[in-house]
Amino acid sequence: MFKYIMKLFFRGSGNLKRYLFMIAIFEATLLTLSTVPSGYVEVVSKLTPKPNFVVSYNGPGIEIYFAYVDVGGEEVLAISSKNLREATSFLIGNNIELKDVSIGCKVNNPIIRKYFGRGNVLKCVENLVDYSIILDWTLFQQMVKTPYKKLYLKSLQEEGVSVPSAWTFTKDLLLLVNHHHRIIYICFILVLSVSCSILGLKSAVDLRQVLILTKEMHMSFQKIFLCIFIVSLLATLAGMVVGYGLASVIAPLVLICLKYLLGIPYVYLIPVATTIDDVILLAFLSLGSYLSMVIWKTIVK
Amino acid sequence: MKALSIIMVLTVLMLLSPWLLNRAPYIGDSWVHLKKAEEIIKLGRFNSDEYNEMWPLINLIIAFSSIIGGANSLVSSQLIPLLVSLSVMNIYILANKISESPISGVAAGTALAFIPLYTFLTFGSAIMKETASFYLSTLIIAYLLSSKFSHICFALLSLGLIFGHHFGSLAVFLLMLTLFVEDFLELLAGESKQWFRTLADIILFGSFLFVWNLYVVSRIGWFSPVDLESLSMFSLIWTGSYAISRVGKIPSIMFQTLLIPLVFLAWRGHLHTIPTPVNPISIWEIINLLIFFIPTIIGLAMYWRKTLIRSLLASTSTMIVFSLVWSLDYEGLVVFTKSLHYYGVFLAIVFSLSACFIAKKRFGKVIVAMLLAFLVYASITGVSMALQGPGAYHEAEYIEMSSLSKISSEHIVMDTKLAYLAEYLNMSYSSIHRLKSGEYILLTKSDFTHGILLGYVWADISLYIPAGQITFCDKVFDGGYLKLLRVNNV
Repeated sequence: MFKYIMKLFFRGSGNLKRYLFMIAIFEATLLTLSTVPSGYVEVVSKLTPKPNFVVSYNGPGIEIYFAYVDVGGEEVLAISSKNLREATSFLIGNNIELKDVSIGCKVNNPIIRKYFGRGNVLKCVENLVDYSIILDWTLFQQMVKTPYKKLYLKSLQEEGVSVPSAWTFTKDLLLLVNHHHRIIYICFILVLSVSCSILGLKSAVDLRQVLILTKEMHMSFQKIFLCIFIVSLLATLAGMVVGYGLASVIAPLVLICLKYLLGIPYVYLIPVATTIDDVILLAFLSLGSYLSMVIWKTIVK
Repeated sequence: MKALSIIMVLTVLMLLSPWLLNRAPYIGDSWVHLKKAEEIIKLGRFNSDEYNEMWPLINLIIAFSSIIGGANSLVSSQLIPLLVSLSVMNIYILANKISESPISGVAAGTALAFIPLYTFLTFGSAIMKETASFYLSTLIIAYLLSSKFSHICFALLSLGLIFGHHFGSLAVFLLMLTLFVEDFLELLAGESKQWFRTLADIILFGSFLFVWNLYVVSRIGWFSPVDLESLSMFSLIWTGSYAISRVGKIPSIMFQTLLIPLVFLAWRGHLHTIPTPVNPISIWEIINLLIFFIPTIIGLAMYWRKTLIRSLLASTSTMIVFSLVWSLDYEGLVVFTKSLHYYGVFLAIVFSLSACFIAKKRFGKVIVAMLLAFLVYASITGVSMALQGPGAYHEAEYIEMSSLSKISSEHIVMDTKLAYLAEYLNMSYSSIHRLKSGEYILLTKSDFTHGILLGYVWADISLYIPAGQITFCDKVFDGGYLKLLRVNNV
């Protein structure tokens, strides 16, 4: 019976095949519209340095000292401070565990490690720390033979000014994109629910024929509706998977075309598993509106 | 049969042309496998310690043919391009079976070898794992359609392919998976006849593939592009490509109309961010592509309903789309180049399907013959460029390098092209970098004409050696092809 219903359901007017592709295409469009711009903005915000501190020659602020150390014929920037923990939290953006010698990720090589004899390698933070060695204040004084320079680090709040920067701009842009995403999402829910209701109404015409036939075959209504529910649910889930697939093919190919035609850099973030909460609600709302129309037309009426 | 014989001879001649004209194998990988094969002959056993030994088919073919034929490994390595040219026969069988017209078969073979989308020689003439397994890949695809199918024979072919190359195996596995989904959907519609056979084949092939690659991973670790993120991306792209190919004829045609030009642009270096100098696309290249593109789309539209065509479309498009989406830098280029050969098989088949339609019209056979002759003619430029390109070796290069290896004990800087040869001759070398005084650098003719080869890409020589610096270098050796210089002015 399951196979029989599925066959009829997939071939009749307002059929499930159309429903499946409707969900897939709506979802793919939603995923494309939501992930592509936020992908660009996220990448930009990651690349934009955070201006959460300012550097000054004059105090007040946290003192940092810097000098160049000659390691195997190459000069490496060495940084230190009397208050190393606070200084690094300014430079890196958060507190990290430091040893006597901490090596920036971009200058990490066997020669440097051998020269200092010890030390841990820091994770990349996309600023000058990656290209420098952070030394404990005592060690810094022992190792640096050349005269070193002093700077003061201050937070922006301390400075009392709000600096319009690329980073604050990208943060605002990300908020704006998220806001647009919410509007698009609501519109999609409305349009998809209405479309699925219409499809449900259409398929109910065929279902009535099925019910008449199955009545002659002495099949219970509960069993038939269970089958319809299972088939619709499977179609919804298949639609979701196909939607992800379509978004993963169409969106990047369009972006590649844009790169070639308009020179826009190719930045693409594939729809990840976390976007499932957006999609699952959309899919189940469509399933609900589809089935509610089927039930209303075939049972209630 | 006469036409098929002509195409076969042309393909063999084209693929053997690097050897016939330059008397040397094509593409640097050749030297790696020559060395491995010579080690097998010398030791009487094969090792499985590193990447180029994990898929031993090519090394064994060269070694066995050397032992049996008594020829040296350089000569017997040419069995690989010869095997690739036999793929034309498999493609002939496939197209013939789908269209039930031998004209299509001939057109498919011609389109495979003389495809205007890229130069087939750059793949078919190379002595690589991919090329050694290409014949088996196309044979298995043709065998899947055979009416006298035997599981034992299929298992043997599968083993050969799995020991041949991971990417070739992946291409066939993906096709079988798509065929299985097609059969399963037909089963749901109550129309399937052979879904169980497809399932049995897929389990057989899949288990061989899984076990062998698991062994490879245990020996050498994960190899690019196999990781969790790329596998999930690959699955999603397959779902999307399959959905597009399944929805209808129009979406499939639109998909290919977008994809074919993108592939062409990528092959010509207009999409990837690589240092290789990119030449503008000429009007002749566009005309060649259009002459191929229009019959291809007609063939697809006519035979879209055939399960094998839809499955080939979905599986080969998945590979090519994945390569583009995954990355548009050097790593993406490597995967793109590998995917292109399997996408080429699909395009050759759909192109050929329009030939039987054209042949039925008035003067149709003449038009088809002219079309095929045009494909051969249009590929001449690409072939001649490839024969002079940075991937082509010359006998003189080999001889000069051998002489150098005997007299020089210095650590020499060289590009990827010469590094392959140096590895073969057990020479000490380091890859090209910014030069320092006292270092020795070995340059070859193509370094000056095309640029220095850096893996799959090449860059202008001035990027590493500023113009004028060469004139201040000491010329230690100056052969017809190679120049050994000592840097002394940095």
